[in-house]
Amino acid sequence: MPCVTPEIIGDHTAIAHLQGEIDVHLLPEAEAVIKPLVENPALTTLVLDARALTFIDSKMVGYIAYLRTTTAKSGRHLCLVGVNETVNDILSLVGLMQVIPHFATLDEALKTPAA
Amino acid sequence: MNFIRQSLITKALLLFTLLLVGVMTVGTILKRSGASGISTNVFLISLLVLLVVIFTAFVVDVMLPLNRLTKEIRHLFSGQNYKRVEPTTVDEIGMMTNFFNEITADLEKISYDIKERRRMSSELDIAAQIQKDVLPKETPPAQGLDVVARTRTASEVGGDTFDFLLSPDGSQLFIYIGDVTGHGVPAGLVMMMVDTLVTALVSQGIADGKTLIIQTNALLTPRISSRIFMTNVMLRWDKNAQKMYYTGAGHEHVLVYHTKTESVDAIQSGGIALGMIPDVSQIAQEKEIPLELGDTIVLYTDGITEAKNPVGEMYGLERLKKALQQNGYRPSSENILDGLTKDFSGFVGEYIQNDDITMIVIKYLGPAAENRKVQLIVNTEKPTGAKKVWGWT
Repeated sequence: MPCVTPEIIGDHTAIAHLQGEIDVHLLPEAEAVIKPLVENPALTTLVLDARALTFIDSKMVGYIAYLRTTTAKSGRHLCLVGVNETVNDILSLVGLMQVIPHFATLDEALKTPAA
Repeated sequence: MNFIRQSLITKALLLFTLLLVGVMTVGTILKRSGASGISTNVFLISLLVLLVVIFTAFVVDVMLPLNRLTKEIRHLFSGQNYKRVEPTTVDEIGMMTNFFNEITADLEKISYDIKERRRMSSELDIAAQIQKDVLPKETPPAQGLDVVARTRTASEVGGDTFDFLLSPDGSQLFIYIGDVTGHGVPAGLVMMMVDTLVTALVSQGIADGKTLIIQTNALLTPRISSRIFMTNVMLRWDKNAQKMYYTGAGHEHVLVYHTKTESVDAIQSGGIALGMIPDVSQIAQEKEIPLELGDTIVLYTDGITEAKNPVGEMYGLERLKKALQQNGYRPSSENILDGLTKDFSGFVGEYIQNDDITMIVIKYLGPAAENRKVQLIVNTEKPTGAKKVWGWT
């Protein structure tokens, strides 16, 4: 089972469905899937679907911070969906939940003006 | 005919057969011709020519390649410069020649790797020494406080840091602890940058934690990869007012032991880690930690709470809080730290250390207490081989 599955919605929205525990060992695999989505200028919104994500380590936190910086610099949008309590604690601790919009459901995320 | 070229034995058999056939052929011809008067001389000359041919073949095909090979092997064994031997045969000597070439190529690679490792090890030692030099040695007096700090790195160069800095007018003491993602050289370089920035900013007269965090972050963020960040919590001790303040930058909880109630509060440090976004002015906040006589503050890095025991359980925040609750009554911060580290070391046992660990214990003794300096315990034991176990007491 891949740790990230990409999905394109319409012309401008990409969803990365994250799964299981993503740590330093699985990060290269996750990056390989997400990188083309980030590098595609037509995709103005990147949704990280974390509903099936159970754990992330500091390397993945660093990668999410990198995604936030990269999308913000190019005027695009990044958001999180369905973050569980464990992942929420990790991201909140370093402050990322304060700067990345997050939603309970995918529908809510896709209905926002940015998406 | 290839099988003959591939073996010295078949070559020898061939030459012997050639000699035998030659002798028999010449003998038969001479006998049939009936010229018995010249038969002995012709026979001997023919035999000599044949022997010369066989010997030349032996020299060219066996002795010369073997000589070239043994000469280079002697050079290798005696430590002289040796060179690759071009194989001219495909027999056992050719195989040995190829073997020699392969082995010496590997030796050269291993030798290069060893030299490179020594060079890198030497540079890491220098980096580790520079980093240790950056850690506070001359600590400022902490009026009203009893402070002790202990740290240990998981690799030669660590990502944990802490420092104690006095404002130019001497009224504010800044105490901070930081943890860069990961450890090793990249983390160590970021740690050095933050230490330098904070020291420079405090020396320029910044007198509150919030401004210090905002400006450190603003200077740091454009200079590092956005994947690397430092969590940090900055305490500010107002010596005159005897008040403690904290500003979080996405760090672990600040633990406070209340003597009166013998309870422990875990305050979320808040904020956002340094290096993540360029401007944290809307996020960073400085808040007071109300202290009464005997109360104790504990700062730590995640190397402690995320440490695992041999069965894979994490030490965790709850165990640390419980250990503080059991040891917070002790009269000095050093006693409390000893209690915490014994509990910690008892839990993790012989588990190999994966992350840097740092802890600062601050006990409020009141304005009437003698003016004490901060105590520092920096474990300089090089974390190699069996010494990488978590021995922290």
